[in-house]
Amino acid sequence: MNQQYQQYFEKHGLQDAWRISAMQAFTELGIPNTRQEDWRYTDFRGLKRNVFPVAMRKKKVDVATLNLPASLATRLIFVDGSFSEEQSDALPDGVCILPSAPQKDAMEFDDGLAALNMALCTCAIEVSLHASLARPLHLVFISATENVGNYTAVQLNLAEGVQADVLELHVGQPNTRSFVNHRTDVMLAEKARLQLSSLQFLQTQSFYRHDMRVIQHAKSRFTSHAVGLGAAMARTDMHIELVGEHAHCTLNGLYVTQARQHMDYHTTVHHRVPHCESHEYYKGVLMGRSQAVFNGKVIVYPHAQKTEAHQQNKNLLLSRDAEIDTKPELEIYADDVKCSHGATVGQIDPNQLFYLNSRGLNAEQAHQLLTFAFAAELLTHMDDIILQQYARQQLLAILPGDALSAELQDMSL
Amino acid sequence: MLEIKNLHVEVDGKIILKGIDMHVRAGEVHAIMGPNGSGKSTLSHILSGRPGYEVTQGSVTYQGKDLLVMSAEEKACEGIFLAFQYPVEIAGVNNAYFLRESLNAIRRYRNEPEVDAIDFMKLIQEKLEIIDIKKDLMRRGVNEGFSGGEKKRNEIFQMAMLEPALAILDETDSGLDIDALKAVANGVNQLRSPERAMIMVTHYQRLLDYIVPDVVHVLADGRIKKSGDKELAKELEARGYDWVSAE
Repeated sequence: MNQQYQQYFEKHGLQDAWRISAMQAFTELGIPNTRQEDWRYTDFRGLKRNVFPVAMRKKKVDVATLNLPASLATRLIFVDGSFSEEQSDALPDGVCILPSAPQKDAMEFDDGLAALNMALCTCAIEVSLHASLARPLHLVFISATENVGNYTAVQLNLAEGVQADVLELHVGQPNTRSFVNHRTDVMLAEKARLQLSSLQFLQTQSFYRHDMRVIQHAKSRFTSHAVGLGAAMARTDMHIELVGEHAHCTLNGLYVTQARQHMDYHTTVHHRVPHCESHEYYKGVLMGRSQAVFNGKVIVYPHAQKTEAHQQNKNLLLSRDAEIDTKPELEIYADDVKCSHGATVGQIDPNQLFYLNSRGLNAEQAHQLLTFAFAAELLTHMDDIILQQYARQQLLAILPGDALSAELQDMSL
Repeated sequence: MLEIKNLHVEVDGKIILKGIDMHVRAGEVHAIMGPNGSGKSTLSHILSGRPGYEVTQGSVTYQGKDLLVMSAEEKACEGIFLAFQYPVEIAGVNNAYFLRESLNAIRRYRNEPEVDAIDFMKLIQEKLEIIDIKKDLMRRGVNEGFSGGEKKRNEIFQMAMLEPALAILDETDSGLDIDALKAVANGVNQLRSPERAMIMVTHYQRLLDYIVPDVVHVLADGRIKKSGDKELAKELEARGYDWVSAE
């Protein structure tokens, strides 16, 4: 299988030296398997059965049919991993589209998929901002062709004091199995602020890997909203490096899995200096025979005094056959810190159920409403009301049952 | 409207109610008072259908129907409303949406047309005149982050919206300061009508200064020890529950 990628690679003349060494790294590392500690629960076996090459021809997609978030945002459209300029708004100042991964100096890879991303990346979005964006930036990645790989990268560099709201949205055309291998690198200079929403609403046959690296300098603020509703198998890795004092990061996440879906979130927050804060809040709803993994690591380095690190993972387990593996990992090497973590796995609360029943809702409606409410609560942390509403709408659409009315998507009513 | 006969109830094998008889007519307000552990809450839970209670003897008839075979949602749809002692928080779904789902579930059951968004907002506006409750609470998650007083006001607001035939107010006064108590009582009084019956379950006489009952029952040790008019409540306040239990 690795040879197939290699052959494909040679055939298309991807000859750059850094591509070749990335490809070599992929050949050595291979697709991650469950013998690797970080991948214990997540077996990308399906990826081994298929090769997902880069799309050879541009496919036309009618964006209007996709029900994308209505917004005043600058919207850039990517189809099968390449920029669809004619369907996109004009590039704002500081935004450019590159034909290769932007981080090609780094040749150390944590895993084979990261190496493959760099070897095959043919479209990267570089956002280097010296002034705040007037409008949110929406990057919409559409998987339109069966068995095609989307090897994309986003680099967000925010200069001192700059603010930006960015969305990375992955959606698929109906009945399209694809592989999304996406990388996001964020660099926040002093006092920069970024709200980054990473929404994964792919078709349920697809594979998804998101590798996110964030470096935060002093007094910067980073907020991530990661929502996963689609794909057969999805893996997200986040590495947050707090390297400047008084930097804050907030990581919010929601995963909803059903049937045989599998979603895995590995987050690591490195508190390298004093006076930083991290707040992590992940929620999951598990149904059918699905499985989810939450592994939240926080490392407080020696001398990183006055660190505040809080982590919560709450799961609603709605089926006997579903499985959640949740593991908080705190490594604390400083003594004057405030750290907390908690993980819960529960069912529908009978008190809430009775409350709804006593207001006339039957068992089915009440279950659906409480399941929706559990997940939607996480979305209420999104400041962007349009995005929140869009995510609520997608959530309502994928949850089983139809006892709830569509107005539920609208939190403002 | 409501006829309770010789009602015996057990929870986890423990006998809580030991033969309750009560008759409530439309338009009446009944107060059920009693010390902690007397079975007051059990009675309100049985009437509203909370699971976990076993009726071992007796009957409860509501508008000629056997109440004990109905599920909680059927009871609600038949016009029974329970104002909770501890209203439940449901984040992620706003109050207004929840109320509309509730109202429409009840209307569907009765084969009445559902209320659309515009008429519903009008209805909310109308009912806000009755209950002194901040309007922006309608846009918040159900009871999410509400103060104790706001939660109780919200219960009465729901009651105003759903217009039940029989309302059960479970310890509605607990945890309220005097202003909130007056606001809640004022709302309840405006909802009194010749077609509607109410049962107030309370530990303290204080609530009855503001919502004057037609009948007062004293519940102790799973039985109604004494029934009377509003003067009985005053006597209880002066002499304590031991006096009734001792008789």
